Formats: sequence, structure tokens, C-alpha cells
Amino acid sequence: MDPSVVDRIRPGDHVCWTFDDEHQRLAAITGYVKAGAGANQKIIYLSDASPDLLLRELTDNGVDAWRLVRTGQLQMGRPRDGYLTNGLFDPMVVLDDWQREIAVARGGGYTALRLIGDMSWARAGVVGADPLHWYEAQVNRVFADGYAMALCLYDRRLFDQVSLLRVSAAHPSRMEPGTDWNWRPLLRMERTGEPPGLRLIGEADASNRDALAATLADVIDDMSRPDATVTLDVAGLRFADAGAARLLMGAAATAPPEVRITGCSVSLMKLMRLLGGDPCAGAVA
Amino acid sequence: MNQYAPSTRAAGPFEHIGLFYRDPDQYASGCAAFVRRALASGDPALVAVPGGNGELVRARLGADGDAVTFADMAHAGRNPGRIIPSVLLAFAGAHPGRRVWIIGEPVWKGRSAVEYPACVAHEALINAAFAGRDAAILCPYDASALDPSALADAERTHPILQDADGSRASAAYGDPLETAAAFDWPLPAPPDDAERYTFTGVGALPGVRDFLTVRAMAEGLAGERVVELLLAMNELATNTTEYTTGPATLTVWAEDGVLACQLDDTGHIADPMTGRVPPADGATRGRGVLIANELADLVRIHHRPAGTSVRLHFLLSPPGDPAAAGAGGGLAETAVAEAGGSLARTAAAGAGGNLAQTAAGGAGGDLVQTAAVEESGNDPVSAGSSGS
Repeated sequence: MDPSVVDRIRPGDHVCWTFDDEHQRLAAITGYVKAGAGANQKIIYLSDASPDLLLRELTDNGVDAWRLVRTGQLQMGRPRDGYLTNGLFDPMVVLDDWQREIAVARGGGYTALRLIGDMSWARAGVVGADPLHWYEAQVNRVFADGYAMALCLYDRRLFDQVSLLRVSAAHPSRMEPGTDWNWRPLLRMERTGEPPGLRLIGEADASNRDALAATLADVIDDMSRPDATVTLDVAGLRFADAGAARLLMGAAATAPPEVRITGCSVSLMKLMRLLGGDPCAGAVA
Repeated sequence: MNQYAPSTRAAGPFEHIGLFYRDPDQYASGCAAFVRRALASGDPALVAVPGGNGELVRARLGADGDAVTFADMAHAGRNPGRIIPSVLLAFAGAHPGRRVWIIGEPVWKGRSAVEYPACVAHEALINAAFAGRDAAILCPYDASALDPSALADAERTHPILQDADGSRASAAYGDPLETAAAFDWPLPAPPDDAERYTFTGVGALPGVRDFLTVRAMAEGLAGERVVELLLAMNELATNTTEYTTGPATLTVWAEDGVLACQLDDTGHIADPMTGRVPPADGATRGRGVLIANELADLVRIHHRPAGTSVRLHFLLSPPGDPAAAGAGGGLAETAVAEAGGSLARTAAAGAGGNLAQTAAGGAGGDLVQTAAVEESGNDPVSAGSSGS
């Protein structure tokens, strides 16, 4: 992997990083931490491994990790601090914790919150595949505000292929060791204030469908007041497959709130029509 | 021998007639007589024929033609695979509860060797798609221009045959699913130097699209057609990643004015109606082929012993160009230019292409029975792609 691709992860991104060995893990982590340190971003690194070991790794790779810890910019944590409550994984509690950490980071004057979640603790037998998938889909709401970003580490030696495929689809973007130099986050989902709604940028396909589904549902759920209008801005959506088109049409069919889809490309309109939708209802170019 | 009395001899509500004509006069009178049967009952009629042939029918009908919908089959039915969902079932779905009368001419001189088996399979599967439906479909065949084997094939796919001498039951008509399977011919092997891309898993889809974009544009496909290629192939590749575990290969090349794109995977498509009638709710694989049928200029599905090959064609020249599109087949070739515009407009109105509407029209549960498609003998495609 070209190390510079890690630099393309920006606030708002939620990236699934599947890897095969320690060298690959470290290559991604080092670049990711360096980028955050240089941009005055708060960094939280959650891992099963000993913090001392992780900090030594980072230091050996040219990161002034101890200094970052001393200043509070880098915060090391164990799953029990971030994911587990009394040894149990309660996704709702974790989601609330992230919102609190965001508030703390904002209060500390940091420009963004950069998370690293080494998900090795969530391997089979510890956490079921269903709650893990649900959590990874729901946590997108934390990032849609555009302040926080996350790199989720999935060790392919600890997770079976089927579970990895599922959990990966709950992330808008994914990286693999084979990722080449032109990698970019596949999909960005940004909550918008004016008009209130969601902006989609990039590509939506089967590889990030669950992330899109959860985020759409969350935005609509948040604004389900009788008089509310949600705007889904898809002008930046370079590609949408039939599944994504169906999700958008399904969102537009909910009421309340009223959902408007703006910036539909010619091909997305055509696809919606092929799927039996009426792009004139809710969707405008 | 039965003499012609088609209105009383139909065994069920569905009639599927092959009309063998030898000249413009036989064409116009055969088609006009069929349309007048519709108009006499106050039923909706659609004339979907290539090029200027519609004008022959319109001229013969005179003022009666105003009540008829016309479509240019060279455009609407360029890909034989979309005629059933987007032309025939769409028209039936737009007239619920009515008997529909459709003239559909899917076979014309100039159909390529790769297109032709898809045309015959289409003609066979009309019988399955419309079994029990209240409809009549007349398919004109140019007996003066088409190869005798094409006429013999039409006898296998049409229960009723009609010519200037009258109409008769076809002795060669056979089970539609078996006939369609018999035309699942192996695809000609892609050229050795065609570029290939092997992929596995849903995470490879962005890379699949990148490969297609670069290759398609390098071969001269442009604008919205590139996006349509991406939409179609992405749906098929998504099905591959969701229904198979093995790696799949994408091959892209240009030949004879088309961009050809072939997906070879290890999956099997069991339902012969896949891509022609909307699948049951929740099934995505069939929808992928439906979308491909709608967007591509040809979809050929070939069942191999070890998997499936799907080949798509996208015309490299503007589809409106009759020379490049091979949209000849017109007896009244001079009429093509002047009639073109209006035919295209009626095509847009008539063949809405709304797959959900055709779903609502309902194609009956009897279509989901599957035919075991056995492979016989050599398979140049699997042989060709196994080394890649």
C-alpha cells in the first residue's frame, strides 16, 4: 500500500482497514497518527494490546508518541474503556460515548477527532456478528457531522471472510493491503444544516450499502417531525447502483418528514425509472 | 389442412403468430388485417417493427392508424432481451384487463451471428411469458430476405404460422423453454489480446468500474453510454460477488462497431426467464439482468458447465445512425429518414420501460419453473477464459 493514501482519510470518513500482518497494520497506523498530529486533531487509539507496546511501535516509526500522550492530543485506551461496559458490548452506550468524546475534543480546541479502533477484541466468540454489524452501521451517524473520523482495524487472521464482508459493507469506505495509490474514500456522507439533510459524495454500491442504509435511516429518524423537510443532496454521487437507488427512493417515500432528493444525475434518474420509481416525486435534478 | 381462421382457432387466450411475407404488399396487408382485428374489438394495438416498416402498416391502415401505437423495433428491440419486459409486457401492463394486440418484428436481415440466437430465444420465451395472458402477438418474417434456417427457427417458436395462403398450426413448434435452451449457443471466444480483469468480492466493485471506464473510453464509448455500461456491468458483477465465491473475469474489447464486455463467473442462473420478467420480490440477480437488458444493445447469457458467461454489446456509433445500427430490415428504406423522428417519439411513449409496471402486470408464478440447461460438447468460451 502507498502510505500516502492514508492521508486521504478526512474528518467524516469511516474506513474499514482489513490487513493480514503487523507490518501492514503499523504502516497504516503510523501515517494516520502522523497526519492527525500535524493537523491539531485529537487522536484516540483503542486496542487490546498494551499501550506501552503501541507507543513504542509508533515511536520506532518516527512518531513523537510520548509527547502526544503527555499533551493529551493522543489518548490510548483499552476496549473496556471504549467498547465494553462491565465486560459487555452495548452498542448504544458506545455511540453515546463517542458523542461525549467529540464534545471533549471540540472543547479542547482540536480541529477534529481521529479514532483508531483495533477491532481484534470483537473477534468471533467475544461479540456476535450481528451486534458488531449493527454497531458499525449505526456509528456512521457519529461521523456524518464531519468532525470525527475513524479507521477500523480488522485483522483477517481473526475474522472469517463472511463476517468481514458483512462488517465491511457497514463502512462507507474500505482499504486493503492491495489498495493502490489512487485509492480514495468510496463514499462520504455529510450531514448538512442548510438545508437540513445529508450530502452524499463519491460512489454507493454493494460494498457500502449498509452504511448508506443506516445513515439515511438515521437522518430521517432525527427529523421525523410533521413539518420537516430533509434534503438528500446527491449531486456529488459519481456512481449509484440499483441498491443505492432503491435506498434513496425508499427514503423519499417515507413521510414525515418530506424527503427531497436534489442533484440527481441523468443516469440516476434513469435507474430510478427502471426500478419503477418516479424521480419526479421527491427527486429533482 | 386447416385454412385460415385465426380468431376462432386459438386454443387459449394467447395467440403467437409467425407471419411470413415476401413483399411490401403482403407485409402491409398481413399486419393491417391483424391490427383491424384489434380495432374491431376496441382493443389496444402496438406495432413494434424496425425502420420504415411501421410506415407501411400506417399507410395501409389510413385513419385507423391513429388509434395504434408505433415503436421502432430497431431501437426499442435492438437488444432482443428487453423486448419482452420493456416492449411487450410494458404495453400489456399499461392496459390492464384488456386484450393487447402487438406486432413485433425482432428478426431482420442484418442481425449479427452473435445477436441471432438471442432473437430466437426471445421468440421462444414469449410463449412462456404470455402463457395464459389475454394477448395476441404477430411476428413478421421477411421470407424473401432471411435465411431459410431463420424461417425454420420461426416455425419452432410460433404455434401459428401465417402467409399469403392462410394460416396453419406449426408442426415444428416445441416447448418454449427447451427451444430457448437449444439456442444457448456458445459465444465466440473473445480475441486473445482483449484486456481482462479478474476480481473477487464486493470490495472489488470500484476497481471493476475503474477498469470498465478506462477500457470503454479507450475504445471510443462516450458520455452517458459509459455510465450505462457501468450501471449494467456493476449490477451483473454485484450478483457475481453475492452469489459466487470464486474469482470472476471481465473481458472488454471492440469489434464490428460495438464495445463487447463479457463477465465469466462460476454462478448458475437457473430461471430461464431471468432478465425478461421481473423476479419475485427480494431477488436481485434477476433484476441485474433486467437492468442490463434495458441498457445494453445486446445481452447474451451462456450457461457453461462450470458457470455462466454474460456478454453485453454497446454500440460505438450513435444508435440513431441506421447504417451503423444495422437497423435496415426496412422494406421501405426511403421512409426511414422521414419517419424516424415520429417513430422514436412513439417508442418512448409506448415502451415506457418501467419494470415495476410490468411486474404489476404480473407474469404468473408458472414462469419460475427452471429448465435444466445442459451443456453439450465444446465450449470455446470457458476454454478461452480458463487461461486468463
